[in-house]
Amino acid sequence: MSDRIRLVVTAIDDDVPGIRTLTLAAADGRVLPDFTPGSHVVLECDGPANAYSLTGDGTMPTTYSVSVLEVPAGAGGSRWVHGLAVGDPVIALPPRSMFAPILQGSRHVLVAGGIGITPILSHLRSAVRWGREVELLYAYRDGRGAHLDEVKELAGDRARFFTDRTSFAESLAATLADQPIGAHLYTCGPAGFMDAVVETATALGWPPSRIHLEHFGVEALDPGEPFQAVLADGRVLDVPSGVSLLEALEGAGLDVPQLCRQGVCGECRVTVRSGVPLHRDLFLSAEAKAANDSLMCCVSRAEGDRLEIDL
Amino acid sequence: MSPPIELTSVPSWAVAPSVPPADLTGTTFSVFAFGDAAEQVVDAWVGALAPSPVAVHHPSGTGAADLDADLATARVGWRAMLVGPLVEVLTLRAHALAKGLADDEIVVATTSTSLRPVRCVHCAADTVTTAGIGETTTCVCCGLELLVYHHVSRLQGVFLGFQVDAERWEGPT
Amino acid sequence: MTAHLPTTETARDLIEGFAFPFPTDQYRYSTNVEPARTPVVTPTGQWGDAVVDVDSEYRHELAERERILAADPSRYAVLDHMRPACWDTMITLMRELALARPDTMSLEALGGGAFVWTNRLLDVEQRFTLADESTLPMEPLRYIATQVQEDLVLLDQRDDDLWGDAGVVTFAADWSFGFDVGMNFLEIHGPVPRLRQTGVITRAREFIMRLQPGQVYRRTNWTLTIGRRLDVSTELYPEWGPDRPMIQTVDDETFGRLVHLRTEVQHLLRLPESGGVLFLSRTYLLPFADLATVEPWRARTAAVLADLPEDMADYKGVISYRDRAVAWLEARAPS
Ligand code: HEM
Ligand code: FES
Ligand SMILES: [Zn+2]
Repeated sequence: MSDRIRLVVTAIDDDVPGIRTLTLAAADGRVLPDFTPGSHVVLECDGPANAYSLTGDGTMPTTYSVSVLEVPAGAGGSRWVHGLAVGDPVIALPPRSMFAPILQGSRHVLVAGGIGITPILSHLRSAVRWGREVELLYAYRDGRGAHLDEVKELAGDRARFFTDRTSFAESLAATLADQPIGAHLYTCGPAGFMDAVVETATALGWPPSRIHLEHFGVEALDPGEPFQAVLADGRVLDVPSGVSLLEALEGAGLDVPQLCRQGVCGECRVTVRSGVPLHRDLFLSAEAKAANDSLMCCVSRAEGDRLEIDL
Repeated sequence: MSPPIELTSVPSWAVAPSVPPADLTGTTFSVFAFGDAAEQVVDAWVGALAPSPVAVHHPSGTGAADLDADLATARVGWRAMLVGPLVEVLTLRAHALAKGLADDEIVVATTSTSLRPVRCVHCAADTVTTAGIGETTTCVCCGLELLVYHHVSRLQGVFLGFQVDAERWEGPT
Repeated sequence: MTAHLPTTETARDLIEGFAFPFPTDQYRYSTNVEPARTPVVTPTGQWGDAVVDVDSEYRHELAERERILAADPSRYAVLDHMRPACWDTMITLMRELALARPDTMSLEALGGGAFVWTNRLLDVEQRFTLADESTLPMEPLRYIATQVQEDLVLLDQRDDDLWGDAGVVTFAADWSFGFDVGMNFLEIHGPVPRLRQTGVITRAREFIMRLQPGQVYRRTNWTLTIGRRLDVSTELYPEWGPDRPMIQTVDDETFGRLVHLRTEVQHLLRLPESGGVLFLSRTYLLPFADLATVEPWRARTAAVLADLPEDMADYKGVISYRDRAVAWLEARAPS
């Protein structure tokens, strides 16, 4: 799977209650991979992997910055981040971009709710660098606003801040009602917040092509759960999280046809004898997937903890 | 041997007249109507959109100037709705796309598809022809006999035409 | 006859570096993408370790590109919103060239967005400042097209689709870049038979839309070309079209020297700053006469051509001389 990046925590900022900002640098001190504004990284922790938006500059970066909300009742990711100390090692998957600024946009309306400011901040940064017309509405709970100073410095009077719902909703509606053709809307925040933004925009006639959301979908190629593959000769292979079935088979000395290793070319199809595959490819048709009698071993995994295959 | 037309770059409304319903998701609207046959469609659209304001234009030229004028003050939520013979709507749609309108902001209806604009890929001139896809027409500029190909440029609003009989060899010259 | 008979032998490096495109005896369209930067070892040598490839035709092909662009400026186009992506492309390709040719090319960052590009093969030393077009002799996409043999297409990603919104394409194999500018990915591929029905091209689109910065993939495509002619664009069809009936009239020796197997090695990568996708297409031409000296290549090409379905052979423009090509190759089987 994707090459992992070894990082270390170089700074921690806990100034805003409940929000921790981590600065991470490459363990070997080198320049980190470039990223597109709006990108996120997946940080590996004990529990399921979590995606966090990169808030910094994406061109030849020497550090990555992420800000993480503490969710006491939530899954392990946020608690894990809040337990880190300077100097701790962190493993990241390379940045992924699914929320990029639209090049064709003549104006960019950014709408952030709470911790959703994080990908919006990198949009703002790139808009300022390229001289794009930009406007920001940022809603947060009083005393819980992350990156306020940075936003003010970058955006000046192009940013407006809200700590009560009513004035935010009114300003949002007024702003979205009065945008020239060519404007694009970007929003990130809690699901309910984004739903409300989209609803307001849609009611004002905004077409889907001008509305962009950051869902933090980690999508097909997250490391996945570990499982065991049983081969035709009875051998049992461990397929740990982060290792594909194809890699495990190759590791065991099997010569499996393959090309793309991305689930699109159709070369690596393997017959399933028992167990239920977790299909993550683009190659098999819906019917072929439903039949559950084969899988593309470069990306797909097991629904349970065991899969018997015809190899 | 052309693929099924719906799997090509040729829009379905460029093959046979077609009138989609008005786009009720917009908030303000401009209609650009060409020719008498468009009037019925205009009436239906305006009726469906009531009470929203609809600016109806009957351009004497390509409609580009009318569209630009509306665009200058339009806000997101605006829809451009084009209706008329294929040549006129293909041309104005190309202009609207070049101005940055997205597919989901443009509604296109054709009242007739008997004439087609064909771009000669050899000399870049456009010929308007009754020849259908897979048939041939003579380039008004260079005189080559062109095959009207199943390929349409959205930005230029034309069909692709190329020399139909280029594979001829009459011996060394 | 318009196809020029090559007067010299094919240069060694063109045979050794030829990207033979057939993995099996049967060719069908597939979403044949694979991770790039890994060399493919062939019976004559290898190809594919670099994303951009510089060979002994470098100066000649760059001169050819300039001649074509001067005669027909429509081979180059940049829609306005693609300007940041053009800078991204230029920097990315300069880095790739420096990787491929560290002995003669380098890109040095001077700080503050200033760089110096050195290309000793062309005697170039160019200082420039990122995002400042006045520091380059021409717009960055046009400029980098004077440094790489590859054709370039830039795709914008928006509205859940990919749009061919900029490029320099002088070596097209029977398509017109000027006509296709601004189309989406499926529209561009509209003329190709089978691609939609088989899901090949919709899968390709999904794949490209998910491509991330730092990932580079490649694929090959192929056809036959008569004469060592790089520019077989649709624009020039009246010039090269007559070669197809002509080739059926020539003697065997001429046939072998004129008919070329043409491989396009295409790379796909995501541009980090602009989020655009860069599509590179590098054309390799090998005369049948040379191909036939490599037995696995001769046999496989004969098998693929003999098996090629009518619609694909017609689309590729080889249908009228395919039988002769197969017979020619089969006649050269070792006895
Ligand atoms: C994984 C990605 C891709 C796949 C699988 C793919 C596949 C194909 C195939 C099978 C053909 C037919 C070739 C032949 O038989 O000679 C074709 C043609 C073509 N491809 Fe792609 N392609 C891909 C990416 C691209 C990209 C990124 C572009 C850039 C714009 C592109 C531009 C074209 C063009 C212009 C043609 C010629 C179409 C015509 O006849 O007008 N392709 N492609
Ligand atoms: S290797 Fe391509 S689908 Fe698995
Ligand atoms: Zn002409």
